[in-house]
Amino acid sequence: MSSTSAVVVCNSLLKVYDSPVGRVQAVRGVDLEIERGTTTAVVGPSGSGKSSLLRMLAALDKPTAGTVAIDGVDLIAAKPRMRARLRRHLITHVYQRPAHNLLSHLTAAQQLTRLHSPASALNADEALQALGIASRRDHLPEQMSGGEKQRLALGRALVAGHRVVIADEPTSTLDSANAESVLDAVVMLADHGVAVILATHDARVLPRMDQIVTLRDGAIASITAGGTEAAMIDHSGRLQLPPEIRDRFPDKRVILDWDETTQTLQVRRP
Amino acid sequence: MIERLRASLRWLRVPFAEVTLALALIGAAAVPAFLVAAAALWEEAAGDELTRRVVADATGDPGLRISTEALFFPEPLATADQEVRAAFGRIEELAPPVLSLLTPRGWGLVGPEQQVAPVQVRLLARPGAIEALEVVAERQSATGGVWISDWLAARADISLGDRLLYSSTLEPEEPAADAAPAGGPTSEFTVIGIYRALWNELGDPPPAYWQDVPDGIVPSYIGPFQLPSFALLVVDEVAIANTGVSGTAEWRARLPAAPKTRIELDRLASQYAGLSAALTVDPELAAALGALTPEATPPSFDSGLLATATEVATLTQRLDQPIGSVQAAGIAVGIAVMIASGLLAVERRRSEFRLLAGEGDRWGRFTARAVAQLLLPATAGALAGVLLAAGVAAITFNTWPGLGAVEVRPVLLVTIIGIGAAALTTGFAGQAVLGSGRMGPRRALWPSALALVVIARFLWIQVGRSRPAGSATVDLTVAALPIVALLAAVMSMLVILEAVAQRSRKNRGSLPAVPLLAWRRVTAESLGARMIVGALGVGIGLVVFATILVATLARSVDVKSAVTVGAETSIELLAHPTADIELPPRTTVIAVQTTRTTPGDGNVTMVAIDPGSFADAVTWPAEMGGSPQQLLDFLATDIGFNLPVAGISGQQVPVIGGFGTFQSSPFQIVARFSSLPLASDRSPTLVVSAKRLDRFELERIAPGLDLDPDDPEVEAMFVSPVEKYRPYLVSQAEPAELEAFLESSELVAREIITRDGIRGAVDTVGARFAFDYLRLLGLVGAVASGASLALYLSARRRGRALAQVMTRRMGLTRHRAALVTTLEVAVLSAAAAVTAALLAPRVTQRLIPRFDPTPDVPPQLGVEIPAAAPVALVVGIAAVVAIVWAFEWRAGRVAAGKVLRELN
Repeated sequence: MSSTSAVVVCNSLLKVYDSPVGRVQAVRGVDLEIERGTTTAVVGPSGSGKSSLLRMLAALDKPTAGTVAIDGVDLIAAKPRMRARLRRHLITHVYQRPAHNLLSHLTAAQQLTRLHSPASALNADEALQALGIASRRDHLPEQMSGGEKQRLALGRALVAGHRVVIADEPTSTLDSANAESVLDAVVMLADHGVAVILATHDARVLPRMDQIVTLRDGAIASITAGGTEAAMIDHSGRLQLPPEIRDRFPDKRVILDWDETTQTLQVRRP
Repeated sequence: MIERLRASLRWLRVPFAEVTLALALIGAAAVPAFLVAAAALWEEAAGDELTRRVVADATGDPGLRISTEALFFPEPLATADQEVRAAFGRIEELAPPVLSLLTPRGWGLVGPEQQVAPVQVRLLARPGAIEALEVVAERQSATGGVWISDWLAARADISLGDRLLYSSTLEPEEPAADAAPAGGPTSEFTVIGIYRALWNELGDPPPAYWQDVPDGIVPSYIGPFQLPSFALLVVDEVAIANTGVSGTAEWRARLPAAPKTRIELDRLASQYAGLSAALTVDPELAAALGALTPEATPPSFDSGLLATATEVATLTQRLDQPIGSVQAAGIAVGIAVMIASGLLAVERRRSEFRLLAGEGDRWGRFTARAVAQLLLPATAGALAGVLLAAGVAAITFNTWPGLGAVEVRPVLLVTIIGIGAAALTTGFAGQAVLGSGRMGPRRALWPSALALVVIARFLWIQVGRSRPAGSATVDLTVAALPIVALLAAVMSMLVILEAVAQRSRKNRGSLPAVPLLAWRRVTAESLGARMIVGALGVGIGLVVFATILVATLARSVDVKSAVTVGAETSIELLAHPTADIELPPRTTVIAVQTTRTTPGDGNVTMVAIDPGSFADAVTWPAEMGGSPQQLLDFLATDIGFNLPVAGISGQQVPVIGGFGTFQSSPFQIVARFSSLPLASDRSPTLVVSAKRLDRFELERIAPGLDLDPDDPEVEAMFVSPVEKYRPYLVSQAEPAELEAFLESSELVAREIITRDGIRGAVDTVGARFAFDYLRLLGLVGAVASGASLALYLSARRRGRALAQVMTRRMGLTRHRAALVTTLEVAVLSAAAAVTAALLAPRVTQRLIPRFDPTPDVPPQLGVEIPAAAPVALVVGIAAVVAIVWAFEWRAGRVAAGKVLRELN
């Protein structure tokens, strides 16, 4: 059951790739809900499925199975044209490298103007003001710093009236000051009702996030929100244990005890 | 809104942001436009050149002549004259027509039944005729009269003032074969003048006035007594118009300036045709001419210009196929380069396409945007292509063809197709950039290479299977073969190179750093980069191919002209020169006869040569094999009863057999050459010594007497079998020198041909125009190579800078870092270009029979590799290496920090 304010809803999301070494399950049974005006960090080691999950959430890729709905539109059923429309009207995607997020021949203002939607609350100049880069209005990307470029890239969501921003490690190539300014922009987007989901390895990012989704081997291991880390039980009832606990059960068998009174699940060796 | 407009303008400027990319796009668009424009200009210029040559060689009068049977009465004649003059007046180029009134041959009588001469007479009235006569005697007469020649006056004893009767009704005693049917009444004239007889005075050429008169006015000599065919009686127009005599009215208009271009020729021919149709269609003109004769005989219309126009049209049509085929192949190359430019635009601006696709753009938007971006460079390219075509045509034909000849619509169409193809490629490739986000397996080159090899093999078989039909037959398969074959070879080479490189990766550390890194990069090149290098190789290969083919064909024309003429000049004589005539230096008589051979009863051309003068007189290109002296030595071989003869390699003639129609002479082929002087293009050729043939004949007539044909006594009694052959005076001398010799020796020439004449003959020239156009394929190859190189450099700009930085961080100097990439490109491009160049001679050999204007004249030549071919190869590779080096060197000067910052 999804909450009414959820803009991104995933159920049992699965993504399988054909690769030179065979079929790879990049994402396995992810259930996730992201609400408007929130910031979410997706973390996990390399190969845990962060990028694959984000590509599906950004409507760049079609899931192999499961459901993913962006603002109520099911991506499984959507044809490529529909997914392109979703991207155009709902989603801003921010790549890791700042240079990849902007058109090299357009000024900062033009980068935003070309996306301006009548439905959006801010115009290009207002967005630039809000992002703190108004002085860069007529500058080309090559004349801007990495942090400014990433802020500008995030600002596209403001003028386009997008509801979701998907960012893939937006601070990884930035110094601390620039990373902070980008995170300020992320929070500012959330304040404007945009759901921001970003994949990151950057520890500086996590304290600024509303929730942190930890992926492990393509599945969600835990979700931390409000300082509480909760393990996830997926739709099929699977619970993913952290490796250090999992390794304490060498024969892969457990006994589960549920205490109704204390609402506690106990896991012990047989 | 203004900001959006500015953003759109910035979009349009994207292709010009980088010089190499802009040059590549302009070059790619220039190729198809160049070929389309060049074809039109070529055909135009070639048509003009052929027009000038055909007009110069034409024997027919290019002016216009209308003639009709008529009864000479003033009023109908005046009406017809007015109408015809009005009709002629509509063709501005024509001089005003001159009306001639000419009667058929009739009988001139002095008194009721006394014929004036043993010949018939004709009456002529033509403006200026009397003034053009040389007056012997005259008397003034107010009523007019007739002028007769002094020959006729003496012969018929006629004096000034005598009455002379012309009658076409009297039955002639010995009617001339071409005498016109009798018809009009008898007319009587007073003799008012006597002129010097024309047939005694006319030189060659005749005086200007008499060059332009109707056919048959100037009498010819007939019969054993050298009598004129008729006597000409010249009267004034008024006198004849009042007679009612029947005859021919002819309007003849000269064409003062012959047409110099095909357009002028076609326009004139069309106007002539229109006037011809008007003779029967135009009611007033038809009525006026019809009123001249009661039988309403349709008027006749004649002009040598129409035959000239037909000949030029036929010759230029022959150019259509080769030019069209080469054009189609070249356009395909140009559009392929444009498609490559589309692919590389995506490769070059990958992050931009990924960003836009991520924002929801699909192929339609990408295509539309690419169309807008390509519009300017493609238009500039098309313009450059048209100008280049005009320049090349101007250089080839020594005249500026004018851009008016360019057909704008096809140029526009092909440019639009090119833009469309490139834009669609950009659109779909741009959409595909988004991909799956994961790297798939490296795309293999071998399926494309295999497909190309299969297509090339198919074309190879097709080209070999279609036999040439006596002239050049250049179709699409012929034009496509070099491109596809070279492409297949280059791709196969790249596949092999890749396989070798993959294997050699295991062999680590055995190479120094620079070649090792270069070699690693060769193995890691993207499909796009390998394709571009392949295109580079094909481009250079095409230059080499076109150079070899054109050189081979030029040499073929040169050698075959020597075979056809035998030397520099050849004159077919009406009769053999007698023994007492001394030939000019370096001149011989070669006798030719087509006869039958046994066994097999096939045709053979027997060529009898004079061993004494042959070697010095003939031209013997190395391609014919052997030498004149070797031929003479073979023909002097003693092989017993049989006549030793020399044949041509590959021709089907029995080695031992007989030749002759009524009486067979036994022969044995003692030697074969690749070709022989005066070799026929219709039947196998055998060369025999005329002296040996004479001796053989004498031995047959008088066995055992061992008579010498050079013995004057024997010569006086003996008729050589060679006398029945057609004699040719074959010489190294100039035609003028030989003509003087013919005049002094009273020999009569039937036909004179020269090597220069054959080289300049319209047939050969037409084929040469096709060769010259083919040479453009080389130019296209060069432009395509340049465009490909520019694309390559543009696509690799960022990667190159990064590679420089990374290589330098590995400890290599800037110089050595640049060397790595240069070596990498040099290895790939040199391998591709050398492969293409090595295949080029083989492809040329396969195609020669299809381009040769005289494929049936031996020898069938091998490939001529001019010095320009290896030079083109070396220069091409050197240029590629130098340009890459320059770019690398420049890339190396960029600060590492800037490069790494740009990545962000």
